[in-house]
Amino acid sequence: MTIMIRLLSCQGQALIQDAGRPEARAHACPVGGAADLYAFRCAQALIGQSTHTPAIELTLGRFAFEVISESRDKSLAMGYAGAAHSCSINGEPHPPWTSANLCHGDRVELIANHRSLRSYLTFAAQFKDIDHWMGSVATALSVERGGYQGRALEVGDQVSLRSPCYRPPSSLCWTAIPKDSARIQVLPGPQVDRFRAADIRHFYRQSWRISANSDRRGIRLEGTPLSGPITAGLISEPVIPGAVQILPDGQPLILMPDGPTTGGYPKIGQLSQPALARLAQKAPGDMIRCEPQDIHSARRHWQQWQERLSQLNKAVIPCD
Amino acid sequence: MNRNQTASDSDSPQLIELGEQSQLLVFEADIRPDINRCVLQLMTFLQAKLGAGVRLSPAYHSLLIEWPELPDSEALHHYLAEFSRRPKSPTQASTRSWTIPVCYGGDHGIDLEDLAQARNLSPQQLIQIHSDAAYRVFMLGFAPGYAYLGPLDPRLHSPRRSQPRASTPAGSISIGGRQTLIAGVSMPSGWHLIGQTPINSFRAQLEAPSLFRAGDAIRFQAIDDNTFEQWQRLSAEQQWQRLRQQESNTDSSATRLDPT
Repeated sequence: MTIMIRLLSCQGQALIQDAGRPEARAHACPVGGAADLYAFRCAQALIGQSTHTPAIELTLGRFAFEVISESRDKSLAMGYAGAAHSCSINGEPHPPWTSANLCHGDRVELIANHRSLRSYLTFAAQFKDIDHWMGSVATALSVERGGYQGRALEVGDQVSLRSPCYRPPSSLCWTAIPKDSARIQVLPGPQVDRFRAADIRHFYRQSWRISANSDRRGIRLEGTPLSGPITAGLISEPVIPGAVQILPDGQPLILMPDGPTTGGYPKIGQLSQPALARLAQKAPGDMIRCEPQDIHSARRHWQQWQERLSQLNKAVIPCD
Repeated sequence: MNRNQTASDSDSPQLIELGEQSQLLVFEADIRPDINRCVLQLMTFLQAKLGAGVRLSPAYHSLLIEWPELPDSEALHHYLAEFSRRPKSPTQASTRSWTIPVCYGGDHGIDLEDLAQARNLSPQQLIQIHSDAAYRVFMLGFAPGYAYLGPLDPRLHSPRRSQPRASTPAGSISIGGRQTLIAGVSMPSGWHLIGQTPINSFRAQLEAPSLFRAGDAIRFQAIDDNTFEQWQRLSAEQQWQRLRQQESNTDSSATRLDPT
């Protein structure tokens, strides 16, 4: 049976995401997917769904939708993670990092609270009529594939879900809730040796501001520029999300999941994966500090992070 | 040398640790078909040895390795040694050739005049140098439909612009450093826009969505605005059909590029 969520208002970017499409790189398409992988996985765990379950990624703005169900007594469990929006259901505030069950006629509103940037909504159901492309339903805006008709959601859109399920209302244990931090771990980049020592020190000492000129393709940092000389353009080579390029103006551009698959600007660093997930929650105007990390330490931390991700279902506690 | 990098000799790539699950294998930093062929051969070799769970992505002179978990560096070093011992094969997969229509300058190439001036050339000379050359597709990268070409005549080499543009037209033909490229979708770019092709190089509804492949031979043919518009009126499918017809024409040097 089908249940629908109808967008009543949509100011801000709402995109269907999953973990992305690695096979797209062979065609120079971004791998894409949820920018904050950690919050995305929390949203899945909150309603006991698998790691393949897609989510709606909300960035800033305000969104409202109503639930329309063929059957009045059917419930649809919804997970809400990321805490970037104040959520209310039928006017009643609903805390982040929890799940709820929705019925026909319920109205959900999410308003950016500016504590972070992105929230993730998951549903204990299967999205109908979304576009599968190269093994993923993540929205690929540049080619209009994936997600809901290859585009961001708009007012009036009706997203259909099949086989909705009830889940006991749950919340994420506080130890699993990410703590806000301005520190971003950065590994040495492939061209780090081409930068002057003074510039490398400056990069790691500076408080960088997130520029408004940032999106899912890349995050521009603003601050006192590196004084250079910056290595002239190089022959293009593969880049992955989290790459820290230094542009000709001496300021960094950090590549994000919808960013380019190759690049010729020199790379001073590479964000660790947990750091990239945290960076995805930094909004324009926020300040960050980059912290050097070596590859061996990063790989050890990665194993612990993977462990935490795979154990998230155990951090979900039923509410009374 | 970066502690995360291993030394290399002329035959084996340098290994660079990139992220937790990724590494770069980097050959000599030059735009040469033999280096690029080596990258592609290494990719085929490693894919067979390491299995489908490992993702390999080639560029001009480098290869990205993305592991499903943490890198298995021991296995990698073992296979790299095996690869460097392999007999050098002169054989090459058959090449596809394309003649790509380009409208140079004006609204289609807003940097042409400035670039010509900076390189002490007339715009006509720049167009002649660029369109006379035979190119090879070295890699697909950056964004859907983008084909990176070389070698570029040294008279046209130009550092990337100091201020990238937030948006550049789909199908742009541009120059950056020692490289020239055919753009796909509209993207920010710091390259010099010298022309535009009406050809849509990426069709997202196909299983093989990219028109070009690494190893393809490319020649450019200058066209005027009218011919540009004629090509634009064709669907992407029709464009690809025309290009394929012209590709299979054995006397391609004498063929006038014709969208009708």
